[in-house]
Amino acid sequence: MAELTPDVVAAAPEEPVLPDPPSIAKQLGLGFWISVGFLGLIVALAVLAPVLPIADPNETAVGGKFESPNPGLWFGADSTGRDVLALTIWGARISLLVGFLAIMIGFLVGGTLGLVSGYFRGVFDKIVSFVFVTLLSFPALILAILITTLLGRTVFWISLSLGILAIAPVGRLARAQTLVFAERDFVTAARILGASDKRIIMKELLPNVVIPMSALALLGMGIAIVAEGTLAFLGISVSGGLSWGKQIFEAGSSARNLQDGPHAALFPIGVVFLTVLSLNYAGDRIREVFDAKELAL
Amino acid sequence: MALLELDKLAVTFNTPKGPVYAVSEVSLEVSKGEAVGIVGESGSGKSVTVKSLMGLLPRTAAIGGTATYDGLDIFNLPKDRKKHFYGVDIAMVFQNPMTSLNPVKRIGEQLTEGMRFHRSLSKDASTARALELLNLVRIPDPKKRLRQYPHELSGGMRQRVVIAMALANDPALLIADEPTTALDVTVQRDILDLLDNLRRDLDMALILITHDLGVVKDRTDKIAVMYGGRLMERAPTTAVFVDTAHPYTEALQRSIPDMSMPRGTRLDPIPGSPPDLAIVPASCPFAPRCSYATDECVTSMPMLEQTPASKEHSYACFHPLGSAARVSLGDA
Repeated sequence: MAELTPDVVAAAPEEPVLPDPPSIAKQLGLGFWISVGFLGLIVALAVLAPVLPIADPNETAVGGKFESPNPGLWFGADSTGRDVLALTIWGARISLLVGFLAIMIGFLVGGTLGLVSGYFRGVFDKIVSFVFVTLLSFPALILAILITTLLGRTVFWISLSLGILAIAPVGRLARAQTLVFAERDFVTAARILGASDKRIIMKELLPNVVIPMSALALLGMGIAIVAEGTLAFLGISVSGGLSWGKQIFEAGSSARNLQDGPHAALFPIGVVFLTVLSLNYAGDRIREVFDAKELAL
Repeated sequence: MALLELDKLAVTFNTPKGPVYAVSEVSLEVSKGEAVGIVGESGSGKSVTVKSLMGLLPRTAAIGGTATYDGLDIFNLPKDRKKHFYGVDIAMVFQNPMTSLNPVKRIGEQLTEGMRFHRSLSKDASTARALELLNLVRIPDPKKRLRQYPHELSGGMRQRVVIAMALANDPALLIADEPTTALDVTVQRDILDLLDNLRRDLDMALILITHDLGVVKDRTDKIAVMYGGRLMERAPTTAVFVDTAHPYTEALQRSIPDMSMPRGTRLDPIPGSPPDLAIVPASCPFAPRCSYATDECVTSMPMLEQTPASKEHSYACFHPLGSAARVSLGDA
């Protein structure tokens, strides 16, 4: 064997020292962090609602009928004198919970189905794709109405009905991403090295698929929150509980109410708007920042 | 006994339109520490041959013949042996370093995974070994690389990482399937030289697959020229160039540009296109494109024969060139 001498060995050329690229946190930008901050605030308020020094949302005559916003009642009062701020904070609990649960169901079921069908292909893939297309072609609202009226108007069933609607979009994205990566050599290499299918899906494919999926999940959560509002507007949201949709529905149920106290509807509408905007913006930024990395490949 | 022995290896794909004979009767030996080049154009069956060895063929493929590694039947490995066979005894470097690394995992993680699976190394031990490997493949600043993601590395660097990954468990045989096709010309040479040096240094056998005779010329001990899924010529590297027996090998050589050619010299391309492998092979696959072809070439199949010059030198042709030609003329 010839001795390996350094001078015959071609060393990779030294690369010029580049300044470190900006950190991920910086790349995501100020807007992203403001969005996340706002979402964090809303979540914190919702979680802490019972211990916050706010009025009982069901207590009437906290303020006068349609009392305008003032330093004592930041969001004013509604038609029965309830504190709009308290209503909005308490409403966030169910709205956020439904949005979160719905997208989690879509994420878990759709993501799993998409990954597995995209990886194994074959008959299973054909069946799953057919189910996705069927779900997509089903009128969303009709399905939600069907489930909630048949099974009950609890947080769980409403989340489930919205979650089922999220399965197809999330699943199709997961499947498409899986198809892209499953053909790559690093998957083949892992297989050669003896990795099981489960390991390949969990360790090689999932990390690649989860980034675009999380971006979609944030967007989807916004959609689910609005969808819950739509259901509330139709009078089939969570029975007994408070939600943003319900609050908007009650405050805006008549032209008279809207005319006398527009703030009772506009404040919760504004909060929904900002929440959905934040979710969308954060989701977009995540997709943009991490997609750019993909392009560099 | 050779490290790897292929005996009449055949791979047939069952497609809805009928069988495709991708590889037929390929016999080849690779000894310990030997470098073997498999040369052929697209569709010549070179990649399918190694894929069959790596167990990467789809289920529609039927394998015939035998392949043994160190006396073990590769196609019927005992289960416990199989678990630590690929990646330990035989490792592979893929064509495209852009797709053979996972984009969302750090280099260090990808390098150590295999070792931890096959050798149950601790985290520290595997990291130390990863550093050693990166040094081995001559990557500058290896400590920093461990924490980087693939997109932060250039194509050549990535291929070095891929090679390092393949070397992680000290394989006795490394298969490199066109390892430089996806790289810049200037980087190609570096990578090929690296592979060559690593082979000598680690006393590892290497199968280098390429479509470029020039790539294997100075870097292999033996060359197998494939065409239409069959071996056309199999010989020690010097014999392939000095005493070319098969017209296809000759044609391949003539299609390589040579710096010493006078200006304006036209390259000699091989006319026509590769054969349709869906047809049951009954004649020399190269006959339609061969300038020496006669009726005999179209009606029957030439078998591998040894040249008089060397037992190691075989060819499959009715009208051989070089020393083989003189003998067949003498016979007539």
